[in-house]
Amino acid sequence: MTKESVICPSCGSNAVSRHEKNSFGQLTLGHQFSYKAVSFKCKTCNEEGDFLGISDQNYMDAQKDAQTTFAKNILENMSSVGITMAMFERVFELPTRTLTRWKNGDFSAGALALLRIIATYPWIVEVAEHKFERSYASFVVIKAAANELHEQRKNPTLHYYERQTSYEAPIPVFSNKNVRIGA
Amino acid sequence: MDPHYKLDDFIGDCAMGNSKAFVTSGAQLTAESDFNLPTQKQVLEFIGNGGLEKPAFINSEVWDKNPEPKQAIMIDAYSFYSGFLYGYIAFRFQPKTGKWAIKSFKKNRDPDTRNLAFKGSLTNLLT
Repeated sequence: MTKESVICPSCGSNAVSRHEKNSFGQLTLGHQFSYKAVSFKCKTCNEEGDFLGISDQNYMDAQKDAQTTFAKNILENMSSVGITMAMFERVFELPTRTLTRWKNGDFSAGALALLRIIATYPWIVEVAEHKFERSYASFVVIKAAANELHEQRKNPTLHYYERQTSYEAPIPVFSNKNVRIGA
Repeated sequence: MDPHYKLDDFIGDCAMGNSKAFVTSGAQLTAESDFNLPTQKQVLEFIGNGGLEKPAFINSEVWDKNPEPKQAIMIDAYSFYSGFLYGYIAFRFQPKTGKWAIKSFKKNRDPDTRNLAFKGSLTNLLT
């Protein structure tokens, strides 16, 4: 039985046991992180769940740490493909020192989404540099596709297939060093 | 057969968070694997924010594991869409606690009805 007075939300019984285990989450494009999963099981109706939202809180705390590392890692890697923080802020019309704030952990979910897009398609910075002008964007996409095809012909590897979420090493970001901004 | 509950009541209560609803462990696992919603909070916010697109009632069944079977509790099941995904959700309400239990939240294994538009054309091609 728990120290707290936990009522099963499914049947109203207080015959509830608490279970804890170490569990893992996977950050999209980032590292795996661990957190303490807490669940409650009702001995009356056998229902099981995070009745008090404790697991949620543990998950979000651990996820935030992983996201901070992820953002910092991406921002530090940007310079390797020619994207400086000042340039990034200018082309995406962000206030100065926005990226410094992100690097220090002060970022939103929207900021993370943008970083993931940049990490996957670094050439989007070049499109932004041209104010997202449509014909230029098409040109850049075609150029990137040609580069990708060239790489595939040199190293004939993969056909796309839908795979289960992997809990292996995170996908390397900015792995295609041939993509140079403004090249 | 009609739904036992008003879907809008369920959605409205999900918007209020886990004071009014909870996600069972099994449903939470598939919510994460199938819909990238790893926490109960995210599942409830998703539903409460109108995430169930084009919900269609499937059926209503008695909760067979109810420890108090004299007071029948029904489970409503719906199919829904979320962008490209075709989903399935089942939930019930416990009057004693005033809470909804989300029993299932997963990809729908039935054929996606959006694909049925091509069924006639494909049949014609094959015959």
